[in-house]
Amino acid sequence: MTPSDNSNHANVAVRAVEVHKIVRVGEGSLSIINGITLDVPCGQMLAIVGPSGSGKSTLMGLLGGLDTPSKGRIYLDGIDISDMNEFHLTRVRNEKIGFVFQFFHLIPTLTALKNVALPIRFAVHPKYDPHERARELLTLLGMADRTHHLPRQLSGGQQQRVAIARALANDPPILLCDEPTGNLDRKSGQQVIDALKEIRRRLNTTVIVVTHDLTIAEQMDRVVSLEDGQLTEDRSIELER
Amino acid sequence: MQRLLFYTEHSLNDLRIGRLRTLFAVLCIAAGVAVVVSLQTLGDMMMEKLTTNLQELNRGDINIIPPMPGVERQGDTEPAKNAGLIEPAGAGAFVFTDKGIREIERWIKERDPDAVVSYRHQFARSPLANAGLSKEGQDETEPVIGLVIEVKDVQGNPVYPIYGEIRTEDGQLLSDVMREPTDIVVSDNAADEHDLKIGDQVNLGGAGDRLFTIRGIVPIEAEALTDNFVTTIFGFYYVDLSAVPLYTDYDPSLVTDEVDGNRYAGQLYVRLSDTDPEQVRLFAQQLQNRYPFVNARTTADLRDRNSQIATALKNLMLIMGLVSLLIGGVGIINTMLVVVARRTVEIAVLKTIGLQARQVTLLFMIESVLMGILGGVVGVPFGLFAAWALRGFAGQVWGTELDWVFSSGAVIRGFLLGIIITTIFGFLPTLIAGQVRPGNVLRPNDTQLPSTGIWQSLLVMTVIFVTLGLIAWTILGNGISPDPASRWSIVSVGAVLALSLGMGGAAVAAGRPFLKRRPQDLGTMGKIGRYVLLTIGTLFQTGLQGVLFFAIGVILIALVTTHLTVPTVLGALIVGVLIGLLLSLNGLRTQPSLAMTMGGGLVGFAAMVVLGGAIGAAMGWPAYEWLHKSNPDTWQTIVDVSMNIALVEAALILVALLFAVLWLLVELTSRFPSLGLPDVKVSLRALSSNRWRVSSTLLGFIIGVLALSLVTMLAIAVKRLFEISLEDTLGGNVFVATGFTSEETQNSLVNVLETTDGVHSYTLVTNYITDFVELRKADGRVMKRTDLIAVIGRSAGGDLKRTQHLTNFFDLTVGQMDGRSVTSTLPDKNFDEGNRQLNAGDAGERVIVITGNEAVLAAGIEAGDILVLEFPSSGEILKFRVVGVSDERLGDIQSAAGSPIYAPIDAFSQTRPNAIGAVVDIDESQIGRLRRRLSTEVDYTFVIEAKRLSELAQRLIDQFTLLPFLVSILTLITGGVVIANSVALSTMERRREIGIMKSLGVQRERVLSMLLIENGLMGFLGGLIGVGASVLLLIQIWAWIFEGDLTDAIPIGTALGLMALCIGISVVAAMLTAWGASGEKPLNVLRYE
Repeated sequence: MTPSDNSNHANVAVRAVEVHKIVRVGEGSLSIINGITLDVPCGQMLAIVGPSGSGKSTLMGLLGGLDTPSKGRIYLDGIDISDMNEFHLTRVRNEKIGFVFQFFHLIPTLTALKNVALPIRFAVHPKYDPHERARELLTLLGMADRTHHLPRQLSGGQQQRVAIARALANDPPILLCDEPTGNLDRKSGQQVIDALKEIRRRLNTTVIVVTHDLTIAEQMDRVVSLEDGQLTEDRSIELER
Repeated sequence: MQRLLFYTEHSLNDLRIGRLRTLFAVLCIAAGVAVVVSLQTLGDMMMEKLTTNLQELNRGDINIIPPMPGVERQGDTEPAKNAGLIEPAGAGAFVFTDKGIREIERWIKERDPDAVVSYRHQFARSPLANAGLSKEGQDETEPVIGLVIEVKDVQGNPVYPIYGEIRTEDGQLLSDVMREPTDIVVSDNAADEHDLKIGDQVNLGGAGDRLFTIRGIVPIEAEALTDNFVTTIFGFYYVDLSAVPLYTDYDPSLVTDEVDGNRYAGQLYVRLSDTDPEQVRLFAQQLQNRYPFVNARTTADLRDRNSQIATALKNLMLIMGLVSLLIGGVGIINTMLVVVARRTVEIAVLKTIGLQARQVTLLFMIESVLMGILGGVVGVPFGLFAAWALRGFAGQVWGTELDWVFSSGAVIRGFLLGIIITTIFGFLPTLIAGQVRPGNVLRPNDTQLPSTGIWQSLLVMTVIFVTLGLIAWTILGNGISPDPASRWSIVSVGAVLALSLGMGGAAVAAGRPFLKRRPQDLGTMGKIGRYVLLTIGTLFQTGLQGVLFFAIGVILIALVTTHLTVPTVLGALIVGVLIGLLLSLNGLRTQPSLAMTMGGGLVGFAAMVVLGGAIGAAMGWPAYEWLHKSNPDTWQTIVDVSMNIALVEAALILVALLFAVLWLLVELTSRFPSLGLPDVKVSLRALSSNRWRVSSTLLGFIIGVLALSLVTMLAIAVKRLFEISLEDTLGGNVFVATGFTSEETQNSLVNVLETTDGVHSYTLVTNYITDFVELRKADGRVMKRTDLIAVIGRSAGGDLKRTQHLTNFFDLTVGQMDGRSVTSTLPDKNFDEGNRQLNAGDAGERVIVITGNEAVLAAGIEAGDILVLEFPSSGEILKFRVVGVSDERLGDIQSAAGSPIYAPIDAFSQTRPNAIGAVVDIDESQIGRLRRRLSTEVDYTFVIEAKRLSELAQRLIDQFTLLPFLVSILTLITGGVVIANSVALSTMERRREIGIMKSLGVQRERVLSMLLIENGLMGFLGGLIGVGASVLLLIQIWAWIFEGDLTDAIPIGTALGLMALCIGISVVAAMLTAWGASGEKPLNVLRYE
């Protein structure tokens, strides 16, 4: 498929076309992502796996509008974000993407409820009442009794569930998760994955998970492998099942 | 609104969680706010004191002042002098004669029969006659000022003071305790100083062996706030007018039915029946029209004058307070940088969920504003408390008890300034916060702060310059604006600078991507352009660094050697360029791209400065032409604000230069050998890794140290200098003054001095009051006073204020002269070629030596001129040939130690001197014996030791330096808080490092010792630079004022003491936070940090 071929945009949540990321190191330069082309259909759960230094996090940063590609195009929900400036990228992140991180990254000074309400407060056109929506999402994730707790008063699994609720605050079509279970024990990790599956089931959200844990990857619909900034494998688990 | 609430809540939470970090940052600002509030409150107390009870301060509705230097008057003094209404009293001042007093009083009573007139008298014209008081049976005369007052009028009503009342410490009125002519009242400071008690019997200078009894003690405030500031130094005693006949030079033959020729008045006080301000003003105006030689000062005039003084004082204090606040700002900038660095991931998260850069900036801005508000909340009560506690000190300076005044203005000013300074100092870190990239969220261990970027940096600089410039403008107004003629050029220069800064910034911004691109990505022309640019840039950079080091070298050489010669300047130039070259080479070797980019940027900047300059000038000129003519007021405001902004720019450039030097010093210090001690090594490394913070903290601390050490050492050095130079100037160690001026007295005095053991040499000195008649130049020109004033005016470059000052100084210089024995020791003076000291051959000749003070030099008096002077006591007019104009850089102090003009003692034919004295060089051990012999063999003498005079000078210096000392202590405290803040930040940042060290088995004491060594070193550096700079400045001041080396006067002990104080402050400040940090459990730190 070529970038000009937009016929399937309606069904594709994330599209990367010949994406490169080159960074300067001293006098020289280093190519981290080398011409990746990838389509992620709406509602799909995709795992990106690969060894350390393979470019997983960089790719996720590019797909999530945290960084811009040196070459190539990236479309999110049909919008080309490749040349966007920081101002517009921020709006895209607020409206189109939810992020879940390995270290949860909740704002330590805010309660669970306020953490979840935060993206709605900063939306240009908020779709929900911040507190109502936050309460609803926390209930969905089984955290209704922890709404007024500060992050440090919650366990790792609970923090991650609050982080997922925050990621869903503005009802984004795409959820990007960077090692979401990396800082959790197996049981909590599984609970988080179950929560993601449930979300996909109920909201048809596209979920992209970067992980090095194959047992997690195996629970996704599709797994792509990355090595030296290039896609080396793309397999559909559903088909295998 | 919801967002604002979020910002506030989030910031408050962060401040709460920050605990120690927040505490110290808040304290930094609180210390500055406290200094501003306390100094402003003190200023307001002073304002209150000076502008209320004006009738009491003026001693009447109108205070009539005779002609004297520095006091404005409408007309000439000559007719009044000829009419016998006033008489010269020396040093250019006049007193009202009894005839004058009565005539003015008659004139007043004719117009307002119910008016009351009172006087502060002066019973004799000689300055010696009413100086001094000695306790019964003691030889030593204490220099206490005598004030002759009329306690009651002829009807027995108290008339001094006309308004208000003066009560003794036990609550009695002057009229109640001063019943007999021999009853006196002394001021509390004189009583304390000389151990005087009620009931003590004393001799008064000029009143022979008559005993007076002390009947009461009054607060110094009774006179201090009127025109008698000098009483705060020496103290005073009141003696009644009825005591005048008891004085030795009272001449009954001068008393007629009409006048009493022994009575003189220094000032006349009038209470009018109608005290309506307009009526008082009209009355004063009429009085002044009738007697144009007087200054009739109304309460409104006094209020204006006092308001001006108090406002100037308050502004000065505000500036001093602002310095503290700016030092505190260093703490804020450091704290905010650490806050941002520690929260880069959090910022990145906020950006990933939709916060724009400006929203992040606003979030952190609110946090720093909240810190400013908290600083204000904490600082204001401290400031008020400090003002309350310090009002006693301040009262001592001004000689009055200050009443407590709650000044809402001071509180608001301190509070707002705290917030403004916090905001502008927090601005840079908050902009940095906005620049954090959202991608950082994926690399949580990367806490490297992003750079601000060219535009943001320019914005910060502009905001800082403009805000501080506006603050400076509100304080200084048009104080630093140039005269109208040069305005256009200065504003054009300002416009050029501003524009070139902007254009330069644009050039760098535009040039950066070009320079960043790799050569292989460029075409042939691009490659050539790039290399040309880089080569020029590198050369330019080398040159710039060379110039920088050259300038530093020259300044250092100038400070150390006090002389600049061609070889030293050339040496500094060569060394500077070599260092610049080395640095550039080193830069090229290690980071070629950075060095080249910088160089290229600089070239772009330089080119744009030239271009911007041309455009700026082209725009500035029409702007001036148009605005200046169409709206001069707006133009004036623009000029004033621009000048203040330029002042701030200049000050900040200096600070930046100092910062750069400190940065280098910290870098050099961190490379010191650690002598194999691991603790020292870790401490040195820590200094290096936190260079920015260490340098900025040092900068704040050094300003405090510099202020304190300069004030302290200058005071000590001036005192010591006074001790050294006083004996040289006087030509001996004892000064003898006599009450009589007859030939017999002179002979008795000579006899005692000739026959007392231990007298090495002596010089007889007679003192005459003189009036300047004319100056006859060698070329035949005859110059009257008005001609000389014109000359002075020309030499002052048309500056009216300076002309007035120099004219007064000139009047003072020629207002009295000494006769000196030319065969004995003469004052130690320097003479240029063509000028000389008096010598033995001059005996009996009318030749004089004149102190070459600034007024004499401005009037163009030189050797060979003939100075014609009139002696009012005899009416004689004598001509003196000037043989020497001495080379004096310190005219004021030296003329105070003797008259600035002297001639051979036997050159004054019939004129009787106003005073006779002698300067004696005598063995210390024989002073007592000389004093005893003089008191028995020569009538009415008193002996002052040079040491004693210098003690008085020292007290004066102490009094004047008390306030600066106080302020510098407060500034240093702020510096100490900034250090404590820096240590707190440093330990917080290094919790993990401390945890690792402890987990490796390093004991708490060693961790503590490392932190203390590190901060002790910082204190040492601060002390070394601060104290060292003040020593160098002192040497420079010495070199500037005097020729020759006076390094003896540098108080080395004090300097070392101050150094120890600096180390002490930094170690204590470090201890405050390091103790807790070193006690952390390693597991806690490693797990949660």
